[in-house]
Amino acid sequence: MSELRLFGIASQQARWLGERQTVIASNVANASTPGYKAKDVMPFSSVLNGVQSGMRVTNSRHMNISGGAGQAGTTATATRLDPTGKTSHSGNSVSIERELVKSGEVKGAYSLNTNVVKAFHRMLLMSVRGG
Amino acid sequence: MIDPLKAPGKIATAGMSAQSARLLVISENIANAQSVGATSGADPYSRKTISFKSEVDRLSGATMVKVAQYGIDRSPFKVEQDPGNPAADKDGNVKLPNVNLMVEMADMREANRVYQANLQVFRQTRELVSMTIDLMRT
Repeated sequence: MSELRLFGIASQQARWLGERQTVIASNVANASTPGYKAKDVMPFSSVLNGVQSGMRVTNSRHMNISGGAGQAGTTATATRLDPTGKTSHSGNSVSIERELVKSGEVKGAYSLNTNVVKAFHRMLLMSVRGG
Repeated sequence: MIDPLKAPGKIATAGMSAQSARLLVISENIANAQSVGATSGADPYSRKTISFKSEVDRLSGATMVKVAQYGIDRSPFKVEQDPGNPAADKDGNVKLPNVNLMVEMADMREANRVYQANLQVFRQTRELVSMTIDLMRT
């Protein structure tokens, strides 16, 4: 049933996109806050590879805060400072245009994601019903 | 951790209310651009300022925005010679508010722009939610 992992990957990506949208909303809301630095989430490829930038369990007595390998979708995505930011006079590095473009990207990717899940679901139902 | 699709709506709402507070201050300044003092030689209306700060919401872990403080602009008043004015001092000088309409208008345009951006994020998030709900109807 290895191909059924598609649902897992899709929901993981949907969650990542939701978190990215949260970070974008924070940036836009703080567009006129002095000293605020624009943030972004780590790229999805790093989530998919399981390379979390959090703490790793290297000893059996460590607390497993990353949730374990079986439930990778529940881990919080790490945020980083947006590397492309230009700081203005008040110390704020948010560009509204860039944030809105990112938000459009999130919407496009989310639309693709839900459509793929829909198509896969249809295929699954087709195989169950036998045509 | 709150649902990642609920948090953006809350953050955008916080952003919009912060910008409305800013618009309120700007409209006060514009409305009082000619308000002189009540008695002879009294100080006129002083321009008000507002500043924001980012705040991490403990429930959701999201970065919200709120009003940090309201302040008063201490820059010097404009002085005009107008002996007929009731607020004129004994030399006939009237102190006028330190409100520059050009600055207020520019500030208003910026507040408007940030408000619209927040609104756009709100709409976009709503579309994400409805796309998710649409998964159920196949």
